[in-house]
Amino acid sequence: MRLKKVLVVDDSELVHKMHGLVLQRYQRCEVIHTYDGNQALEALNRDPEIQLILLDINMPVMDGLRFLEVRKQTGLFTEIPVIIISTEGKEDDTARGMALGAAGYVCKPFRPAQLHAIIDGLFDSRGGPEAP
Amino acid sequence: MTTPEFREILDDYLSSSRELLEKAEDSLLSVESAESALSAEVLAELKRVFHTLKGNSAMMGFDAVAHAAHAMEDALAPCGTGDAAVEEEIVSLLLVAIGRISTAFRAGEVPELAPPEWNESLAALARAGEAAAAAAPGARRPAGAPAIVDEAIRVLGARALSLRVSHASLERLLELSGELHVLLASATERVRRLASRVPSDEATAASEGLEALGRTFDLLEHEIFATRLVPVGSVFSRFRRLVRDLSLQLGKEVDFVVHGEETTFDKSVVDELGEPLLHLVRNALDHGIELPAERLARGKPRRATLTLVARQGSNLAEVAVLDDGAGIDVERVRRKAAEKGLRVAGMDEAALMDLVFLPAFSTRTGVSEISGRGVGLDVVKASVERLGGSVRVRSRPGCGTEFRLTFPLTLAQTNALLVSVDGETFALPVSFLEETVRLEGAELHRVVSHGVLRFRDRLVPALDAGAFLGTARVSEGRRRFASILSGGGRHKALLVDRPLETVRIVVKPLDESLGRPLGISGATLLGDGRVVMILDAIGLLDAHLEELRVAAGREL
Repeated sequence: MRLKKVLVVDDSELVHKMHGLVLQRYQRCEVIHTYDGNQALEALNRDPEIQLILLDINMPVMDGLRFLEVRKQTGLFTEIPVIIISTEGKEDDTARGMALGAAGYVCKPFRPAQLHAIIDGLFDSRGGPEAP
Repeated sequence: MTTPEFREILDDYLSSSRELLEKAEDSLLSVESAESALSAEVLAELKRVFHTLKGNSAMMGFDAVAHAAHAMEDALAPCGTGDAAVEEEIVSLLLVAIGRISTAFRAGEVPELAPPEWNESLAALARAGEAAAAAAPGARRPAGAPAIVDEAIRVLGARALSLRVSHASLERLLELSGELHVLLASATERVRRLASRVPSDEATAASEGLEALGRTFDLLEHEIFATRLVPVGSVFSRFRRLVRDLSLQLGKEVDFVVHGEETTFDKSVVDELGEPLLHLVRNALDHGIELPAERLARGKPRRATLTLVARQGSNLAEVAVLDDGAGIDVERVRRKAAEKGLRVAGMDEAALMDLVFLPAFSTRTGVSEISGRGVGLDVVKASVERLGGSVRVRSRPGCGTEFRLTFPLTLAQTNALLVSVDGETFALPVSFLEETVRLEGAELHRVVSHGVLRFRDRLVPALDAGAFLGTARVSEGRRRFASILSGGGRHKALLVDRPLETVRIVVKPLDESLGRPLGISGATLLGDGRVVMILDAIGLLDAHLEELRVAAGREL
């Protein structure tokens, strides 16, 4: 299944730029940019075609862990896999994120190939994402 | 890591990192000068800044910076517990660390390995952190989060408030607005002429329709200009650090005060304002403000005050740099002028002070490493005028100096009075025009070498427009009207044949190859298709300087 729409959740404009470039070159998919968990929930609510979420942990208003908690407890958007964008030194947060239902994580700095591999793993050619 | 994506983003990384460091520095300087406390919000903001810098740097593979940012974030841990001594030390050490790291970013090079001075700085921070932790065991964790499901419901009902727009889009909007203005003016004019030549209901309706279109367009244009307005505070904040460092270096004690940071100017002005303000601030610190001992000897407070203030009028916006230092020594200026062979006999104090804007005209006898040798002020004047503004200086010996920069609120368009001079039409910007009076004959006098006009119980220097612009030779008594220009506290009467109408014009700069012809600041296209030159009101108000140059026969 081709990846067509990805939601990136991060409060750094630079990270958005980087993800935008990497993802657009990979399967030419569209990227939705949001800057905290709050905005991410809104975007998911508005757009039923989002297939993947790339999530930063440390953000203002609503951070990544809180977003995952909301997603888990309400059961909303659980069919959309979440990949955590992890920072060195915050392994605890990454582990908690995985426990809260994230499907995987990439560590900064990541090579585009790493992200591709994870996405390929989630969206295998037999169609549909694997269960998170 | 040098993937293509990396290379494309490098510039963004550099500029965003510079901004983040500036933001942190600004916050910390504010805390250091006790203008704000190291509150929970300020602390959270600082942590966010360092965290973002760490994340960005890690993403780019710049481990040395990521590590440093991590250390700085950690250093904030003992803060917020209320121990003032600990906080003071950490704030101070952080400022040093930021200074060293910023140097690398300003040079545009990000080190792969941390240079020794970074490590030294970070080690000092770590030591301070350990000492603080040993002294105060454990910080309290913040209270728990509200019920998760309630928050989700609240959040999903929220709205987005603002939109990001690129600079390129804003520029394009302005360009298109300008083109549309000209097209609209041209069409309106043609239909109006048609309606008067061949009157008909349709022609009148068309004319009225275009006028309504014009009015709506004015509103649209106003909105477009408004999107470009940016608060000037973003420029001001950079100076806090500079004033602090420079005054320490010079051994002077200076309080830095800022007013009106929320005042908005056109984005293009704010972008360019930094340079001229920098020169003026440096000048004030270097030349204006005295050493503490000297100030005390003069009965002044030991600490000097340097003020940056911005305010907005109806048509104009102003920025001023004020100091309570030694002021400009007018007598020295007069002597220097005499030395250079300038005829300054008839000049009043204000005119004499304006001489400081001439290149290489400095009252300092030594070369100062910090400000150079009087080169700054003529560059300031040129920069400000290039932005469509004007600068003037006021000073009282022993008391202080004020440099005031004035800018029109909207740069691209203005109202102008069309005047006729020797058969040619020129446009005079209304923002500098006080009044146009009819000359009855006897009011024009000749005083010393230039004409003078009596205007409201005042003698105003008069300049013949034709003579100045080179359209014809002056002959006394021929001009029927005088347009009184005023700006920066100065007045000048411009003698013209006849005022015509007031119109709204789009200012088009002259092509660079034409240089800056005397008296002309740009051109505009009228509704009837004529190209008309816009008179340089600022240049005319300063005309005594030009006359001096000409009289001296050389560059000053």
